[in-house]
Amino acid sequence: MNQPILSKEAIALMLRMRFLIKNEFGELLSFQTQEAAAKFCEYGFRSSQPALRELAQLLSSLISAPVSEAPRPRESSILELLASDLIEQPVRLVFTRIPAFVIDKPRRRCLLNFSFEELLEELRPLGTVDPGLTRLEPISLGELAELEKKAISASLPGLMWLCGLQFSQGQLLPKPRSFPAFGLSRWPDFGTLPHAAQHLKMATFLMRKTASLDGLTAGTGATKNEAVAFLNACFLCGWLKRVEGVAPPAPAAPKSGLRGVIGRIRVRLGMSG
Amino acid sequence: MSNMTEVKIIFTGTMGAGKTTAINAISEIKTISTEAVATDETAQRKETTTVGMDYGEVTVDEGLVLRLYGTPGQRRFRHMWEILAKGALGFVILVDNARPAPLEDLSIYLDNFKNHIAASAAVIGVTRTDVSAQPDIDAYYQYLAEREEMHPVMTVDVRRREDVLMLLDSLLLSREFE
Repeated sequence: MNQPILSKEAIALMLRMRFLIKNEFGELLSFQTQEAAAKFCEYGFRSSQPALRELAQLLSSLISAPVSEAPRPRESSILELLASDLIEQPVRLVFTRIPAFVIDKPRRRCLLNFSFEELLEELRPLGTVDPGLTRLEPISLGELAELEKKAISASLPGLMWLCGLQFSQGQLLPKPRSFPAFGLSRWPDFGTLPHAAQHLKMATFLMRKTASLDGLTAGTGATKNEAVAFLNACFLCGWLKRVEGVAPPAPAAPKSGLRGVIGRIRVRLGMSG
Repeated sequence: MSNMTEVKIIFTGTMGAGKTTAINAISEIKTISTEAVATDETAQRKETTTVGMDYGEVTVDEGLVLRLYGTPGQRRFRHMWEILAKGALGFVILVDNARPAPLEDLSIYLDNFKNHIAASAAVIGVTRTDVSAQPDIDAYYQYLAEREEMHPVMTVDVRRREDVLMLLDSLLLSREFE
């Protein structure tokens, strides 16, 4: 497809913007085409840097293609939003219905103007509904440093974990839904993450074996809802592995020999979850 | 003649990581310890240190007793480790995260008990993360991956019985699902 030829002024503007975009978004855009110019504008409008936004405005006026601000992401629930690649870089999530907060995925934290508990309460009604996200604002390193001084820093894995456990409502997230079977790359740190005995059991099961959802419930005695919530939580934290080939559900082995001894110890110590 | 079956779990790890405290949190008898006045680097943190072993137990039911052994932390008592490790159901390795090189500390116990752990299971409890947050849990998993080993790693405060139970449960479940 023939692209309209860009003017020298437009290319000069794009050259000035190029490294600002790379510094902020980590992407070094090519600048040969009208389509590329539109991309420059899109990044510029999303930028937290006034200079970059101003250049984007100038560039937008020079090119004929209509350019809009960053499209509003349409995630159908807060869980899907947290699972999406829209938050790979530090971003401020601005909602219509709850206060904005910052997710800084590279540093595994969220920055809040209110307590972590308040955030969970705000998010709770949004578990399975459109979270009403109006925009994502990329956060520069400079702004992050400023925010650190005044915002409350909370653990992002902690947020992901709790959202997965509390908001799943029996529905696997779209991506893990496509996994033929599951494994885990590591145990969640149950020393810091709120959990029930069943979570430790499911984690150990998936560290030792791979299983489908049915296999996980059959092998651990967890209900489907418990297993789904656990899988979503692990997926959001980045610990869930896709496994090809569905392992058939393991029949419950008789509690004899070593397994019988272990079962008796667990019951005695009150671990029989 | 007694028909009692006995199984044992070994608590090992660096000096001052909390082995005696952890056994104390679980044992239904007062933990038997062979302690001496600390005269080496341990003395900076503890007045006494375990030189032989700790022992605690839990009577599971009429036919089963769980014996809990704590190894002496100092490497000069390493000859005791092998004796205690034979036939263990599993190993709880406690690592004091406030020491200068916790991952190197961990490697001592993983190396020394390597064959026994391969035949059973291990869980790693990281203590004193309130004093030193680094290395974090991700670094422990990274280290285990480099060694091509995988064991549960959990932040714990061994003064809390529920934390010690969590370690034991992950160990027992690892054996159950093997």
